[in-house]
Amino acid sequence: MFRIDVDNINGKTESLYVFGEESILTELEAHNVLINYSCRQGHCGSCILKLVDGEVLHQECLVPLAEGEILACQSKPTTDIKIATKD
Amino acid sequence: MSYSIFNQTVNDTLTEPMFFGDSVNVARFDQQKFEMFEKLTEKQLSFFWRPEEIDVSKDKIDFAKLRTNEKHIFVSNLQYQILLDSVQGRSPNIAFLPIVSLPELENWIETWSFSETIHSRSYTHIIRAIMNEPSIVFDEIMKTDEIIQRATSVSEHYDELIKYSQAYLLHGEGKYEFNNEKLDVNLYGLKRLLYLTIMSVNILEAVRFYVSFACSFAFAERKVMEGNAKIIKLIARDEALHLTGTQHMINLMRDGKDDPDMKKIAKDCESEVIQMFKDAAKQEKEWAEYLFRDGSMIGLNAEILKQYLEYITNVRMEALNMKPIFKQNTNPLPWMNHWLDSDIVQVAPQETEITSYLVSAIDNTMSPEDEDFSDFKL
Repeated sequence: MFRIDVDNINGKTESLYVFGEESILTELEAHNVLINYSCRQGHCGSCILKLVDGEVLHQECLVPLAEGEILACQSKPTTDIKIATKD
Repeated sequence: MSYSIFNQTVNDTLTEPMFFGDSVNVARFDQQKFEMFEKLTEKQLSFFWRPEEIDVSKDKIDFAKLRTNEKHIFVSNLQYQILLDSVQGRSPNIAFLPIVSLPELENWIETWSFSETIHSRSYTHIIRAIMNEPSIVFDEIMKTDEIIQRATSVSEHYDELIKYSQAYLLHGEGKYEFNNEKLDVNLYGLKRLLYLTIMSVNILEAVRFYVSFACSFAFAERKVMEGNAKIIKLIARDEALHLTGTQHMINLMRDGKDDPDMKKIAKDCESEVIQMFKDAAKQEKEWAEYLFRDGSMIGLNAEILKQYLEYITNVRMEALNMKPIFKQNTNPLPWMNHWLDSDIVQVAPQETEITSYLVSAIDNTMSPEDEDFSDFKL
C-alpha cells in the first residue's frame, strides 16, 4: 500500500492509504477530498496537482505540465507521495 | 468581399485570431499558433472506431426483457442522443469552417464533426440490432414534442450565427433586409454570437450529453444492454475530447490570448452565459421528468438524475473558471466515473486495440545534452 499525503487540498490535510490501482483523482474522490476535474481523460487540465514528494506512473496527456505538476486523473502512485494544489 | 475557398492573400497564420481573420488558404501544420488543437486532432484520429466492431446481439434479448417503462427510458434516451449528434455532425462544419482563420483549428473542427457522424451511425447500429422495426424509432423523433423542444434549444445559437455570418461573408458589414427581417451585421456583434454559440456547444457536449450517458450506463450497471454501453463509452470518450476543445477555445477567448475583442465580449456576456447554463439545466430536468414519467428503474430515477445534472453543470462551469450555480457538490452517481475514466480497463496489447498507440510516431526533439557524445566509446 502507498500513502498519499494530502497537503491542504480544498481545506483538507490528511493521509490516505491506497493500493495504487486507481488514479489519484478516483482515490481522492473516494476519500471525499474534492478537486476540480472535467474530462477525466488527460485532455482538459482541470485536475492539475503539485507533486511535492514521491513518484507516480503518469499516462500520456495533452496538457503541457510544468516540472512537478501532475494530472490527478492520469497518474497512479508508485511510492508514498505528497500532493498539494497547483498554486 | 465575398468568401473564397482559397484566400489568395499572403498571411501569417501565427498572428491571425482563431476566427474572423483571413480565411485559411494553405492547410499547413508545420507551425501552429495553438498547438492544443493539433494535439486534439491527433488524439481524435487515434480514437477512430467503427460501431460494427461492437457486438450488440445480446442487447436484443435484454431489450425484450425490459419492462415497458424501461423500454421508454432506453429508446427516448437514444432518440435524444440521435438528435444531439445529428446537430453536432453537421453544425461545427457549417457554422465555424467559413469563419475560421487557423489551419490547425480548421482541421480540428473537421475531425471533430466527422467523429460525430460515427456516433450517428452507431445509433442506427444499436437500434437495428434491438428492434424488429428500426424505422419506427427514427420516425418518432420528429413527432415527439419533448424532443423537438430540445432541438430548438440546441440549435438556436447555431442558426443565428450561421444567418449573420453568411450575410457578412456575402455582403460585409452593414444593415440589410432579407425576407422582411432586418439584420444589423457588424463584426463585433458576430464575435459576440460566435462566443455564445461556442458556449452553447460546450453546454450541449459537456452537460446535456452526460445526462444521456448516465441513463445508458445505469442499464449496464445492472448487466443489461451492455453492448449499447460499450458503444456509449466510446462516444463518451470522444465527447470528453470535444468538450476540451470548446473549453480551450472559450478559455483562450476569455483570457484575451486570442482576439482582444473576445475578452471584452466574454466579460459582457457573463450573466447571459450563466443564464444559458441555468436554462439548459432546467430543460434537462424537464427531460428527466419525461424519461421517468412511467416509473423509474433500478439504480436511477428522475430525482437522482437531476442531482447528477446539477453536479455536472457545476463541474463544467468550474472548468471555465466560473462560479458553480448549484449546491450539489458531490457526485450522486459515483459509478459513472468508472465508465468515464479512460484507462480503467487494462488490456494486453494483443487482445485489443490500444487507443493511445500511434503507429510510426517518433520523437524528433533533441536537447543539447542529447548531442554530447564525448563519453561514448565503442
